Amino acid sequence: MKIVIAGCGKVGTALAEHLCEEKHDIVVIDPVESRLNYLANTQDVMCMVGDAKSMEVLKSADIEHADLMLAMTADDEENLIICLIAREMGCKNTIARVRNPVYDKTISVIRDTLGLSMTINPDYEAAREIFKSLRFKSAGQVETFAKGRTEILTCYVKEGTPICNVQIKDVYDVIKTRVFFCAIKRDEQVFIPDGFTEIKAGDTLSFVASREDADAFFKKLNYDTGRIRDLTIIGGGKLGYYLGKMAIEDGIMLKLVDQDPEKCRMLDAELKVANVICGDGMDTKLLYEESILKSSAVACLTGSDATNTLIAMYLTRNCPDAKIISKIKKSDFEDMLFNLGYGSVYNAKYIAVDRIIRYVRAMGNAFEGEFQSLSHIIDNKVEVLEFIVHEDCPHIGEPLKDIHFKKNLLIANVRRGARTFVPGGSDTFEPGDTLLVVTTIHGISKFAEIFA
Amino acid sequence: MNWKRILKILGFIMLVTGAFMILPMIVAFIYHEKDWVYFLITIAGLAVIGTPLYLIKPDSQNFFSKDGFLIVALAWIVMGLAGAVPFCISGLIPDYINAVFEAVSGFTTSGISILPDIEAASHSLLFWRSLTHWIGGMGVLVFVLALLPVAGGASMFIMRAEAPGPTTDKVVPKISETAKFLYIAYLVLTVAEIISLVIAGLSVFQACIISFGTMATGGFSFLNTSLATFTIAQKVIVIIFMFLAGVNFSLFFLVVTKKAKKALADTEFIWYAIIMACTVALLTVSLYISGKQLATFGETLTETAFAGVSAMTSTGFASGDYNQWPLFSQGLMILVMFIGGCAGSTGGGLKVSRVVILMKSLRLYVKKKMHPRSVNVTFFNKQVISDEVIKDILIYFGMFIIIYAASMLVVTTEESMDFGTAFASVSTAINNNGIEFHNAGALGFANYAWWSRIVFIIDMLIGRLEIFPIVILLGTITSPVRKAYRKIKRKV
Repeated sequence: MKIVIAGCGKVGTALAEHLCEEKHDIVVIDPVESRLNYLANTQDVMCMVGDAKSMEVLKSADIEHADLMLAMTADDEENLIICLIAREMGCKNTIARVRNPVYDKTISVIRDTLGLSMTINPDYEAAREIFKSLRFKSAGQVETFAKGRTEILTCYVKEGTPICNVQIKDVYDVIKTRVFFCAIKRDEQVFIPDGFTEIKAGDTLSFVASREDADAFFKKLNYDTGRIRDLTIIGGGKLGYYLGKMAIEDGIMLKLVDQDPEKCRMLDAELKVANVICGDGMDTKLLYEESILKSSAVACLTGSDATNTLIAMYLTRNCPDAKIISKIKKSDFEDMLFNLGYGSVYNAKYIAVDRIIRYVRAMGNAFEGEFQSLSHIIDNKVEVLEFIVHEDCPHIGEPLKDIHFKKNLLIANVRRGARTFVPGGSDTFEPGDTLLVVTTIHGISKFAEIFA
Repeated sequence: MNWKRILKILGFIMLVTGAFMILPMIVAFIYHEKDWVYFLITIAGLAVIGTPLYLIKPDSQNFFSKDGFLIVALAWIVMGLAGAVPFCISGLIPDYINAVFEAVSGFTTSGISILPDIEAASHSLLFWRSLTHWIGGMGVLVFVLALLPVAGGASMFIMRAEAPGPTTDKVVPKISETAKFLYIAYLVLTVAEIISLVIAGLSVFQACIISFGTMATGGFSFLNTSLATFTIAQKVIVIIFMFLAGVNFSLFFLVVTKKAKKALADTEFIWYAIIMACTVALLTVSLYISGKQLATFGETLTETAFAGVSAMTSTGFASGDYNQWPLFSQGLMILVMFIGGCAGSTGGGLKVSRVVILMKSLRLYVKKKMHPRSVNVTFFNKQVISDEVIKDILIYFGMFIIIYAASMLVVTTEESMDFGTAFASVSTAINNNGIEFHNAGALGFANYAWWSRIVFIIDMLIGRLEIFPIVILLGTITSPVRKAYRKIKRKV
């Protein structure tokens, strides 16, 4: 597919890298040459210096024959205008990044009027991800599938938990809970385990389980399973605002700390029930005074990676019972911080990139609606895909043990009607099933591609 | 440094070089020559060394800029060493250094020959000699690595290291697509020239030799006198194709996609044409003034056009004995040798775009001396040239001069050499040109001492690969020495 990306910031670069890996033809446009240099030197993409609002620039990027326009500049209005022009010039699909909360209500009108295929708000998407993970105190990352019936959770195996040094096939005998392990990260290597893989302390595990089973699993491991009733957010940016709004709607007590008095006033007006505090999140006295150390969850969402990481480190030492969440925007150290036990770490750009890649892969599909969703887990190294089985799909009705799948790939879950189950060797695919596929292979977009 | 991955790609390059040698073997069968044995031996040797290297499993897929430079430098050296083997074992060029000289001269499209009697060589060896031109012309690595999935993400770095010119522009987003197009253009032009020359009276074999030399801007011929005995029509065909080979190949893409106007408005192309026209005009005038013109104006113009185009595009075919021409003509031809063809062509030299940007920025620099507060922006091809690119070009020019001076110094160690010949020889080697100017007493390149010939080999590689891959290779090789030196220095 031919894809034009306007804006070579963090999201634009990450998108170009991912899409290039999936063998698409990428043209990246940015007015600042130095921002393009990194991409031009490392990826097989075409870089153009220029303003994507200009018709001439878009023309030389061959927008007439492009399948998709991604407007990812820092400016919302600019993105909308770029999409508008691109569409006028013949590019059928356009996606704009729109971040300003002002547009929250109007976005559907704008989308329809400008004929956009999709708008993406990275902060909102990240807030939703973080909010989901609040439900499990001990899990690092939570991904929901099968319309909320199945979840993939990521957790870190501490020293001395009962499943340490146990082979996966024996885990049920040890903890009497049905969970299905689908990926393990050990020493920077990510792999798909089989029944004989032994779980070791220090591993990062991903597993599929229903909510009840996941709760039971964490209980057996002596992990904290209490519900989160109060949340403190440090940093009242867009992400903090969205997360705060979601928390309030769910009835969670909210405390919000920000340095900027103006912003605090505005946030107080917007989030009426929240307790907005104007102060520095790095000030330990303030953390004591406002009893932030007693909250059951703290999210560090300031604009500075260093501040977020430092506060997270301080809090893990001083309130070990709380769930700590921090946001990182630049580095790729999320996983290291998580493994060191400094709580869950989120990177907004990858969450947005996931959404867009999901759209791109679905675009390239023969069967409409076959490809349901895509998520990345564990350092973006493992892909989780959801497919709907069609009548024309191969291998329907054959027992799974007779089908050859690609290596490093497994079917983690099947949803048939209202029932979800982990498939065994004698189970079969039936039309209408929704399959959850976990794999370290990147770039699968068709159901037929999972077979060897 | 990801050595395992570098070795794997090197192994693959050996296999590809071996595969190319099948073509001269076929020629040997057609002409009932026994030389196919030598090629078979070489292919077997390359397969024995190359296959285990190719089967190496690299530990990591990491591949960075420096690996790209190293692989390019090493691959070209390996190709030169391998390509020399048939010359050596067949007894045509018994001295291995000379054989490597001939092969490197072929791959780098220099076209400087060390053979005293070209006509004595067999058809298959002549064919291989010219085929090396054609393989090296467009950059074999880009071809191999972009079209065959060995390198994966590494191809970006390799293309940057191998493609000539100050900036690497792609005509379409994917390297493999760009490379495919460039090779198709290269192939189509070569076939077109072969057909035209056959129509103009050459045999298919002869037409192939000349076309490989032309399109790659190489310069190996099948006659001792190069193209001197060709008819006017044949010379004109060669002039036209030499000119095309010196043009940036992505302009052909514009022509094919019906944007010919844009191609003709390309600043580099315009300068290329202007410099070429001026050179030919000055050469003609100088011939008339010195009274060395031919019978008719038409014939004289053909001669001077041939000489001008051949010198500037770095082809190095000769249509006569240029040593008999006035000194000014020789000086002019050496000057345009340095300018060279366009970026993204198969031509050698500094490249027209570099020279033009260099001149423009020099002018602005002088202006800045007079008006210290003036803000100056260099324009090229309707685009602002960033300071980074200008800096790159200045550094390139500086390194070129240093390498040139160093080579001169080594070559002048020979007692029998005169200054003019040494100057012309280094110029023709470093610019991958192939036109040889020498004083009446001096003989061809075979008469240089072995150390000078090695310097010429390095110069040709430096000229073709645009300095940095070879310099980085030398830096990597000598790094243990420098480390040891630092240790000693610390102790003292």
